[in-house]
Parts: sequence; structure tokens; C-alpha cells
Amino acid sequence: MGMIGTFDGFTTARLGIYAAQHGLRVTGNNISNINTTGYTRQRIEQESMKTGGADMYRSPYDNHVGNGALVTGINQIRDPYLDIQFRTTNSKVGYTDAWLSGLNDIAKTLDEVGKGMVTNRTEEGDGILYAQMLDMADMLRQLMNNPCKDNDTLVRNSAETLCQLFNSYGRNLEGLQKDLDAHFQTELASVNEILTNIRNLNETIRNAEIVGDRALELRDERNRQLDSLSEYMHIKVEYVMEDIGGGKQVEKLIVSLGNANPDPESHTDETVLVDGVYGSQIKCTNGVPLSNPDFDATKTPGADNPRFLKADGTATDDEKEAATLDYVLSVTNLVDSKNVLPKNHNTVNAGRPITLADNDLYGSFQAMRELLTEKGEFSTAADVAADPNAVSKRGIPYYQMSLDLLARKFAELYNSLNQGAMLDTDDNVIYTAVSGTPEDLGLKLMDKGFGEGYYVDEKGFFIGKSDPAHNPCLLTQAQIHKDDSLKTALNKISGVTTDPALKDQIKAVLDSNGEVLSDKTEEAEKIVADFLGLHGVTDSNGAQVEVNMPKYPEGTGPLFSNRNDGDNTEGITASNISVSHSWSTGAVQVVPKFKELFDGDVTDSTQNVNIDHMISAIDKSLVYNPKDLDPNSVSSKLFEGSFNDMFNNMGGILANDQRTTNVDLNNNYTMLVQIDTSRDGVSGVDLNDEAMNIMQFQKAYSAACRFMTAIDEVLERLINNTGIAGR
Amino acid sequence: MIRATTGGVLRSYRANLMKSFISQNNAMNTILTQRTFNSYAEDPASAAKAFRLRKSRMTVQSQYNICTDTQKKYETGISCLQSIDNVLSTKNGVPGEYMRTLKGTTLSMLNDPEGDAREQLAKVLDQMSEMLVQDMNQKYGDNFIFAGADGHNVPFEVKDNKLYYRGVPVDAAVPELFDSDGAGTQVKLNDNGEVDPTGKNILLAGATTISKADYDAAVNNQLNDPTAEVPNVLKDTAGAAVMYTDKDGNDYYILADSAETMTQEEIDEAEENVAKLEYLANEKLFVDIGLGFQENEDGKLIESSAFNAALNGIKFLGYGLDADGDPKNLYSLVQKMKEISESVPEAGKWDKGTWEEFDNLVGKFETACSNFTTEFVNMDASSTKLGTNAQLLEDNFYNLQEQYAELEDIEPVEAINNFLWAQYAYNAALKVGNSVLSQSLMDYLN
Repeated sequence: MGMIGTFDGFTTARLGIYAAQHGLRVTGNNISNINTTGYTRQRIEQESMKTGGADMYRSPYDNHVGNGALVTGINQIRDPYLDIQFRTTNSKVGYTDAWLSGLNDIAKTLDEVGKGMVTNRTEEGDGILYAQMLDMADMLRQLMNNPCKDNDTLVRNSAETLCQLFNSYGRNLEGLQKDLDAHFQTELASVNEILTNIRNLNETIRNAEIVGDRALELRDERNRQLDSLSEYMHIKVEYVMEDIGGGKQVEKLIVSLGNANPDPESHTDETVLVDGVYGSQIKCTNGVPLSNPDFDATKTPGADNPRFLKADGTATDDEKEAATLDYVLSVTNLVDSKNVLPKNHNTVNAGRPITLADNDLYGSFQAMRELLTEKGEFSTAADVAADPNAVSKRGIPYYQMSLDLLARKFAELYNSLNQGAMLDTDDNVIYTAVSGTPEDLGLKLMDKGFGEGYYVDEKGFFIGKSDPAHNPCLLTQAQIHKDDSLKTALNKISGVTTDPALKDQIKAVLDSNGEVLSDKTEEAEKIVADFLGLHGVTDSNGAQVEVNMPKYPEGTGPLFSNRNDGDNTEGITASNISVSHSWSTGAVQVVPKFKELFDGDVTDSTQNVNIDHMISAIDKSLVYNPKDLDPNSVSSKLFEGSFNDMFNNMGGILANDQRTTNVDLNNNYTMLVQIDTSRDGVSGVDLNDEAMNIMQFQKAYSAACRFMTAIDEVLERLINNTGIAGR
Repeated sequence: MIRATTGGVLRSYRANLMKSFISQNNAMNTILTQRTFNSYAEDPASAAKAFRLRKSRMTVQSQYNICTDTQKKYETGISCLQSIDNVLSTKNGVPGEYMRTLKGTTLSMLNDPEGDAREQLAKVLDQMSEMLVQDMNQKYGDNFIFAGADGHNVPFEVKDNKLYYRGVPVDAAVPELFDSDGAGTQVKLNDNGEVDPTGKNILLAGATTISKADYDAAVNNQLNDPTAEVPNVLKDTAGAAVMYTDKDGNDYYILADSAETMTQEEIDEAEENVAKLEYLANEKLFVDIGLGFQENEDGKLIESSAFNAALNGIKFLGYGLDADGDPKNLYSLVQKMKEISESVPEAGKWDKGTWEEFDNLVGKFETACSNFTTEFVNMDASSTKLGTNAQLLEDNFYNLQEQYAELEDIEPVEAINNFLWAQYAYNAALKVGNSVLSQSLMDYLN
């Protein structure tokens, strides 16, 4: 039997008291932090202490007894899988929440449900802009019933209100865009602050760990920062062990993007954001030229290996011609707190910044980017090259452009109707159509005895005629306009003709630089004119057809313009549509009819045939073609219907997106709460738990004290009261 | 879940309490706004449908205003014409006042050596023509009612006792030209009345002819009897009688005294005036009174989808000349009768021919009156149609209101029930939170 130390028991009791006291302190700390965001419950780690080692002379009757409990550490209780789930779901909540918030902001302008005041003609809930379009139709009916100046003024007043509403809606959306841009920049700063915090925390934790401190509270803070970051973007968090020399290893945290891009070829969506003590920042740049995906970086850039894409999707090596993208994000170099680059580092952005692809992010950051940039059906080939799904994503620009297109079509149709260009000799209206034939792209010109087959462009200038000798499609493709230079016209013809003789003719009038030879101008003009079928074409009276045929009869003019101090109809949008200056001053009025009866011998002062057209136009089904607003748009049809239908459709698309997103948000949020609750189930503090711990450690403490008292009493007996028998 | 922690339970409770509160808030908003949905996103399908119904209602309201306004124009027009109709039209076999006067006077005029009756008749006819023009030039609001599509200008004007409708003489007719050979060869005369291919005066139909045989006989007769007259026939510039051959190969001459001519310009003008009258009589002025108002693919108004609100004055009064060359227009007929009644010296008697001509005009006047009455009845029928249409639009207006009210307006019982239930659920949630979360093992530690 081995020796038993006299005072061993005291040590054992003392260690028990220590352990229980530690336990009570940790319990107290847990209870104190029950409401601390991100706090992970802690618990002590205890081991039974045993002194001495193996003894070769050890007797089988020699029983070792342990020397009490040792507190070896304090740990956190976390489930890494739940953290991953939480952060993935949090990025979904972030995305849907930000997207829905943006849609709701748009709806504040465009959703007219329940809006509208009671007036003589409207009821509450009739809408505002929606009702105003009908109000103008009502005024037109009154004008039709009695074409006179007073009623024209009524129509004009109604049109002015309509324009003001368009302006107001357009400005609201512009304001929304600006506000969101400012918010985006603030959020960008927040994200960068989080990234810096994580990097700094990594450094502090690392230093603490080197000296043996687990730095649990700092880890909590780091987890909290990671949770916050996950709302902005989809991230991946890894913990690896880092060798710091001397056989010692410390834990290292790596945060990278979470592979959000559905394109398997994309790897920039795994860019490292923080790698231990090295961290990066995210930068946002506007006006970035769009890269050509087929560009081969290993070869010299040039015409054969162009670096960029144009808005129409074709490649170019000229940066000035390239389509530009806004809100392009990039991740900077990884650097430590002293701005030093890592050595021998294998992460992608260790040595250079990484430009992120359009879909590399997820979370609220991506939602804000999409709200700021996505144009839906108005997307250009360049936009689609950047994001194949661009056509189905509709952010603020989509609604702005839809409203612009509505305002433009409205203005164009009423301007045309008030200028007579689209009326044939029988007062039939020739509406603009929109698909690919000459009839569609040019307006048929049947007036003035030209008969079928002659076309003018949207500005009213003669395009050509569909001569069987020429392929009509060629004429359309050529789209030679009055304002084209001779050189441009020849180039257009050369680009579309398949006739080698004609190509030779064109070559013969051009010099080596493609300029028209000065002594060949007449010949060049003839080539263009011949191509358009102008030479030899006469009208029914045998008169030569003039190329620059005026579109508008005398005394008529546009009703709507892009500024109310002029009559310019170019580039009308929702924000600038105005009643034209001429209409507002009375120089132009709504034209009730164009045809003079018997060359003006008989007056028909209240004839209203043109107002008939204008009233019908309110319900006229028109094709809304995104190309009418941006020729580079890839879609050729946004919607087909009346003006009111178009506005209703915008509300419908917005509403359906809101509904879908709302359902997503609710689902994701519910899931997030569940995951967070589960996470809390592992890491959170529970009062019942802690009450049990208090009792447990309190009892243990008392027991250890009791044990010490027992040992004390035993030794007292041994030292002071042993061997005094008979005294 | 292995552990349910205080924090976790609280979070879950908080999230669910918020949901419950949102539900209660939504239910409250539904009651306060009285609407089943307050945004497009709440019910996109109903919202889109409600907007379309509201659009229809606003359109119907607008069309109703036009319809009732047009009806008022018609009613005003009807009351203007009512007095004319009363005195002109024959009702239940009894001729109107003027017709009775005319017929009675006509008979009495046969035996009217002093001309008193004719004098009276001329006055009556003058008043009548004046009344016709005045009534047809009435206005509704700022517009002349019977001006077709020229409401801003007075439609009927009298110049030199001739009636003009919107500047066009109502008696315009295309003259029939003399056809010399049945193949349309015209006869042209110069200003001296000589046959001249370069002449500007074209011979009108109705010229009297004489066969070659008769003419030759008259010439021979004169040879025998120098006092005998040879008919004055058209001669050429050399003074020779011009002989024509008709389609049957018979030769003839044209008697110069019967030759009436017109220049080509005058003929063209007459043709143009006739075309104008034709157009103006059938002129259309469409308004949208809720009949569908739609254009075809060529952008041309589908006429059946609109209401033609043009009231063309000459359609009521008549225009042009009949086969006898008499006017069809009421005013012109009256004027012509007046001229005839004035054409005989005061103390003279009417010869039978004049009387017959006058009587003939009375018959034509009766026909014109009948035409007027027909148009008047048509107008009355249109006015009734407008009234019926206005009623339909009104019904439609309320129907549409009901339809979107069904979509948008809440069912109060259901809405209040929903709110009470949401409130109950919320209160229950609060109660649960208060009683469950306040307790833990801590509360039982001594």
C-alpha cells in the first residue's frame, strides 16, 4: 500500500472549491449575457487530477486516488452547420427584404389602388394617372361634340395635368433611384467596415490565442460580424489551423464569397474577402467598359482579339465604343492592417483586385444593385452578355423606361394624329406598327396619290418604295434617312445589298478612305436615289416625287414636346413630356379634321373626324416595343394594349413581383427564425439550465467545503487527539 | 430541438407576436378603408379587373354626357321644326295650315280679277319662306343645329331671292346637254350665236329641231312666196344653216330661237355644286355615345359603332331640280310660287297655263312637305333612340359601379369578424407571453 499524503485532502478540497467557484462564475457570466447579441453560452471544462505516474515497483495493493478536479478551460458551444445554414438563409432574407423594400418604394408611385379623389368625373379609387388619361378622353369627347376653342382649352388643361402627373411619376422614380444609390453607397461603407472589423478581430484573436487565451468574447463579436455580413452577401466561412512555428498552431478564419453565381464557369464568386489577418475591401465603379467574354488574354488585343462588347452585343477593341456597366463591384487586394500584401499566398486576389461578375453576390447588396440597374425587357445585348437572365429582372430602370415608353407612345400617337402624317386620303389612320417588314418600320404613305408601297420613316421622311426589283427587306435594313450623309447612305446600301454590280458602283465613287470622291458626288447621289427607287417615280399627276417630303400639313403641329417652352418632340420621356409651346400659346390646337371640303369652297367648322381618331386612340391596341426607347434593347415587344392597359400592366408586373417576393421573404424569414432558434438551442443561454448549474455548482462548492471540514476534523483528531488515551 | 432556450423561445415568441400584430393591423386597415385590398400586390387580379371596370364606368359617364347633350340638341331642333311641321304636314288626312291656305287660294285665284288673293298669297308665301330660313338657322348652344358639320356658320342664306346652303345654291342641277347625233356630240356656239367648234357656249338639251324635209319645204315655199318665213335655224360662221343627223340617220336643223347655252365653266360649276349638295345632304358627324366607337384596321371609324349627329338642313328642305326643272327645295318652291303669283298684273286674270303651273308647284310643294315630315319623323325617332341609349348608359353606369364595388368593397360582417378574430389571437398571444415567459426555475430557487 502506497503512502498517503497527510494534507492531500486539502488540495483536493481546494480544487473542488475552485472548480465549483469557476462554474458559478461562468454561470453568472452566462446569465449576465443572456441578452447580449451574438453571445455564445460558455461552460467550463474540468478534468480529474491525478498526480504521479507509472511505478515499476508498484504494488497491486497500491490504490491511487485522484487529487481532485482541474478546470482546464472555458469553451463555447456552437454548431458550425447551423452557422452555415443561418448565414445562407440570412443572405436570402437580405436579398428578398431589400428587393421587396425597393419594389414597395416603386409601388408608392405606381400603385394607384385606392388612390384618386372625388371630382365631377372621377370617384375615389379611380386612380390618378390612370384616371387622367381617361379624363383627357372625356375632354376629347366634348371637343368632338363641339369643336371650339373653349373645348380645346379643356383638352389642353387635361393634357397639362396628365403631363404633370407623368413628370411627377418620372421624377419620383428618378428620386428613388438617387436615394437608393445613396443608400447603396452607405451600405457599401458598412460592408467594408464589417470586413475591416473581421480582419482586425482575426488579428486580435490570433494574438490572444498565441498566448493561450481563447478570446471567446471576441469570437462572439466576430460571429456577430459574420452574421451581419451574410445579410449583405452570400459568404462561405472556413476555419483552418495555421502553423505559427515552434510546433504551435492557431486557428485561422477565411471568409470568401459563397459561390452564388449560377454560371459554373464563374470562379470570381469564390473570391476571398478575409484570410486571417489579411482582408480586402469592396469597391463600386460606374461606367466600366463591358468585357468581351471571348477575349483571349494570352494574345495581343486588337481587331482580331477584341477586348470589349458594344451595346448591340458585337465585339470591339475600341474602349470608347464599348458598352458600359454601372455598379460594377470589385474586391481589392488582400492586405493586413499595415497594408502589407501576404507572402506566398495562394488566394486569387492576393496579388490583384478581382472584378466581380454580375451575379457573384447575393443578399441585400445584390438586390440593391439589381434595383439600381435591371431593365427587364429593355436590356441590351450588352446587358444580356453580362447577365443572361437580365431580361427577366426588373428594377427601377425597368419601371422608369416602361413609363417613359408609355409617355413617348402617347405623345407620338397624339402628335401624329394632330399633324396628319398618318392619315391617308380617305382619312384612314395609318398607325405605326412594329415588327420587321417595311410596312412595320416605315409608315405607309398612301396619301397624295402615291398609292400603295411607299414608306416614310418615323420622322415622316421618305424611305423608299417596295419595288419588286429590290428586296423590300433590304430597304428596311438600309433605313436610309434624310439626315444621313451620302457616305453613310452608301455604306448602308453596301451593307445590305447582295448585288455585286451595285457594290462595284459604290466602290467606284469612294476613295480609299471610304469618302465620296468629290467629282463623283452626283453619281453617288444617283446610286442612293436609284436604290430607293426615286428616279423615274412620279405621282398620279406625273410630277416628280420629292425626297424630303414634308410630313405635316400647314397650320398643324405637335401637341406634346419634351419641354413646354418649345415644340421639340425628340426624346420624350415621362419626366419631360409637356404640352407643346405652340399648343399652350394657342398657335396649335387639336386639329378636328384635315381634309378641306371641295378645296375649301365649303366649310365644315364642326367636323371632327380627326378627333374621332384621337378618341379611338385611347383604346387603340398598340405594341410597346422597347426598341422604340432604346434601339439596342434585345426584346421587341413589351406589351400590347391601350395606354391604360399598359399602365395597368406595369402595376400588375410590379404587384406580382411584390407578391412573389413577399412570399419568399416570409418563408425565408420564418426559416431564419427557426434556424436562429435552433442555433440558440445550442449556443443560447437558458435560465433553467443556468439555474440548474447554479444549484449544481453551489452544491459542489458546499460539498467541497464540507470535505475540507471533514479533512480538517480528521487531521485534528490525528494531530491533537491521537495518543492521549487515558488522559 | 434538444434545448429550448430562453432566448430562442423569446425570439420565436417575438416573431410570432409580430405576425399576429400584423394580421390584426391588416384586419383593422381593411375595416378602416372599407376595401378588400389596399394595394395592387394584395390582389393583382382583382385590382386589374377593378381598374378596367372603373375605366368602363368613366367612359360610360363621358359617353352619357355626350349622349344627353346630343339629345338636347335634337330636342331643341325638334321644337324649332315643330312649328314648320304643324303648318306643313298632313296629319290624319288633314293638310296643314299652309297647305290648306295654298289649296284654297289656288282655286280662288282662278277667279281673281282684282288680284287681291294673289297679293295675299304672295305675302303668305313670303312669310313662309322667311320662317323656313329662320327656323332652320336656329342654334343650340353656340352651334347651328341644322348646319351639318359646320355648326359655327349660319347654314342658310338668301341672296337675290335664292337660297344657299353653306354657300352652295340649293337649286343646283347638272344641265342636260344637246346630243346632236345620239353619240354625245355637243353643239358649240360662239358669242354671236353661230355654230363654231371653237365656241365656248354649249347648247343645252331642249332645243327645238326641224327636220330637213320641213326646213327644205319652208325654203322652197319662200321661193314661191317671198313673204313666207323660213325658220331661223342655227348657222355657221359663214351664214350657212348647219344640218345635223340624228342616230337614226334623219337630217335636221336646230331652231335658233330655242337654243339655250351654257359655258363649260358654268357646267363644271353646276356639276360641282350638285356634288357638293349630294355630299352636304349626306354629310356625317360622328359622336361617341357608347355604341362601341371603334375603328377598323385601316383606322376608319366603323360607322355602326358611333352616332351620326349631323342634322343636314338641305336634307329637310330638299335640294336640286326635278325632271321638269322645278326646284325640290321648299324655300325655292315657295319663292317660285310667290314669283308666279306676282308675275300677273294686279288687275289681270291668271291664264290657265299659269294657273296650272302654279297648281303643279303646289303638288310639288306637297311632296317636299312630305319629305320634310319624313325627315322630321326620322329626327324624332333618333331623339328617342338617344333617350333610350342614355337610359342604357345610366343603367350600365350603375351596373359597373356595382361590379367593382363587389370586388373592392368589404363585406362588413366578414371584415369585422376577421378583425375580432385577429384581435382575439393577438390578445391570446400577449397573454401566453405574459404567463409563460415570466416563469423559470429561477423563480423557484430559495
